[in-house]
Amino acid sequence: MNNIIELKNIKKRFNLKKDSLFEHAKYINSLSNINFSIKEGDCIGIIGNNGSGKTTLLKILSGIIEPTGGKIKIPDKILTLLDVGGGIQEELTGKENIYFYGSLLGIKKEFLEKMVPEILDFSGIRNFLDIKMKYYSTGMKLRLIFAISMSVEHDIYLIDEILAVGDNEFQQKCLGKLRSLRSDKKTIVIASHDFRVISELCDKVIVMHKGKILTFSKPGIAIAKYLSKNIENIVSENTLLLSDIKVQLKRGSKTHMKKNLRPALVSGTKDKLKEATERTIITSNLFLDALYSDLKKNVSKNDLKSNYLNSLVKLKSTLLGLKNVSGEYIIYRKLRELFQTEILISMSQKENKERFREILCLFDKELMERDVDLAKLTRDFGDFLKWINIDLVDKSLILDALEMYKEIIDKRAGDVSFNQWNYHQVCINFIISADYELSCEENKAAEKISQKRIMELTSFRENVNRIRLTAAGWTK
Amino acid sequence: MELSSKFQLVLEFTKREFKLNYRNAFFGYIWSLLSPLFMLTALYLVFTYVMSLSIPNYQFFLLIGIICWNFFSEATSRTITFLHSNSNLLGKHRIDPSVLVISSCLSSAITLVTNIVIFLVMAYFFRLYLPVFGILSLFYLILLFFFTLGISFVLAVIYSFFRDLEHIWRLAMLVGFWISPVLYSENVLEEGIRRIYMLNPIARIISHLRNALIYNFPNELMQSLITCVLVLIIFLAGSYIMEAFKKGFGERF
Repeated sequence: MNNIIELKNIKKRFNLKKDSLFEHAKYINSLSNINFSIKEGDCIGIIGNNGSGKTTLLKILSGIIEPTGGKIKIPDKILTLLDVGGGIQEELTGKENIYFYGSLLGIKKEFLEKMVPEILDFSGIRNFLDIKMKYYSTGMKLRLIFAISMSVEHDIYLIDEILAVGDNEFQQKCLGKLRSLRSDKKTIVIASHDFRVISELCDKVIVMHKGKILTFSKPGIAIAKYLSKNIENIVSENTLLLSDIKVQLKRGSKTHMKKNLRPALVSGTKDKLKEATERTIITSNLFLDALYSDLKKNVSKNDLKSNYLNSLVKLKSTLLGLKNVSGEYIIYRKLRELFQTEILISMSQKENKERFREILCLFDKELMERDVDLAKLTRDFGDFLKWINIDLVDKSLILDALEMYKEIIDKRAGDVSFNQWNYHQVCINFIISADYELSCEENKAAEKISQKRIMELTSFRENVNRIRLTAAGWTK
Repeated sequence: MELSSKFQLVLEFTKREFKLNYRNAFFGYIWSLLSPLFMLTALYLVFTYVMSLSIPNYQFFLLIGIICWNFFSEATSRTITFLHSNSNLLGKHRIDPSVLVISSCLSSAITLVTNIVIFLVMAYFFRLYLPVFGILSLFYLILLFFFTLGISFVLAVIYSFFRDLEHIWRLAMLVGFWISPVLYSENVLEEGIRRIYMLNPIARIISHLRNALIYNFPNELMQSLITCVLVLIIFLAGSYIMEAFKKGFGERF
């Protein structure tokens, strides 16, 4: 297929002081060295932080602004949906706006007349047709604009962040429309912060970072790279923050004459730390979301995994660095999730048996240090074990983990009877799943199940039972 | 964008401009008739009963000058404010800037046409003899429109680079009012100066219109041709400049 869009060495520089004769020009490089091409029928996502150049790139693709340097090839019939407000005429009625906005997009009047009922249905503003736009709600304006834009076919659709506004129902409608465009093999470029949408719709994703393309690859890899870049930033910021706080505190104690200074510093530090914590938690949430959706879609390439692992480890180290902070339990829970995810990834990499053991040890060590109710913690470890799929992981590792779990309970029994009960639950869980595996495969095709596998599963089952029985000594 | 789509967009812009001007007023569109009617009547009455000048039919002489000058000055200034007020559209959509310029001139042309109609009604009412050559005035009005459009193109391009134009142009219009034959006749000037003076297409068009409408005096074909050529040159030059600076027009706002 042909390249419908080609960008070669695109640069864009803005002069921020162009309106004044008396001030020196101040340039900002909004885009530099952008190279990519889009094939007909592709759906491309653009992600990146605010100010990374997403909108500038879309504007260049749409031909609204000219690049400062480089070569560009774009088609003629482009639909650009850059924002909600642009093009809405507040003083005109809904109907007049349909014609005005339609003409702005180059849609023929006769065609618009035909499309009015459909536009009204899609946007649901039928009762407000003769009302001035300024009395519309933001959502209604958005729906109208979207409906007009989608009423006609274009070669290529450039969409910037429109899904972020509007209620759930409308978002679903938009998504539906985008999906149908997708199946009609239209070329789409979407900039969005919604990774779920991006990873669902897009073939490839461009990650923008400070006006450059960080990567242009499959959604999972791109999102992982984007997040790991973000995490890097958070890590470096937090490290700076922590050292900064230490310096400030020291200085505060030297000038203890000023009694007000120290308390102020301490409270300031607390605020800063709180902010850092919140940011890290938000990022880890985003990251885990993207990761789970990718794992579900089974995009399990090895480079993807190593990317994820790198990001995970970084994120974890940031969280671990945030000690003695309020909201300890939330951090603990996040850490737990991160550990679990790390195991999930490394488990499916068969060569990483050692890693599994390491992570388990870390899980024990790091999480124990947190000021969390012991009963809760041991239970969490149990939950974590329950959650392991015996089919994916080496059985001996599970046995190791069970032994470790037992040790934990022995060492730090909080609510002893409860934890012991939980332990038995975990063991029984494993036995049941082993039984299930055995029975399942026997029923399916008795001849296909190898003797080796039966042996393996049976011995695993026995071992778990043995461990469980030794633990049964607790109650006696 | 295809030409027909552009044309449709021009109409939509013009419609919007017209609606926006009068929509919020109680009398609505009636104002588009009332305000020129009042102004023209006031001028007529003042120059009939208060000040009498030696020029025959000075009232009508003045009205034509005022109507033409007002159109030119309003259309050109409106182009600038129109670009300014639509800068958000320019930054968000791929709009041909000439569409905006043409729309703003067309909006002013609506006022011009209303004024002319009121003028004709008044002429009939006050028994001014309207000659057959009057029909020629339509042609001169079209020339006036294209001259204004050409100048507006150039102004739009300059304005996109240089915002001070808005203030400069206001001054230029003040001066222009006095160096064009609006209040007086170009015949008061000496022959030598007049030759240079009459290079101003506005002066030429006003003079042609007066001759055709009031004085029943057919313009010399040669003079009309010169006006035509002058207007054509300015219009083509304006369009060329517009075309040449179209690239990146929107982002300069």
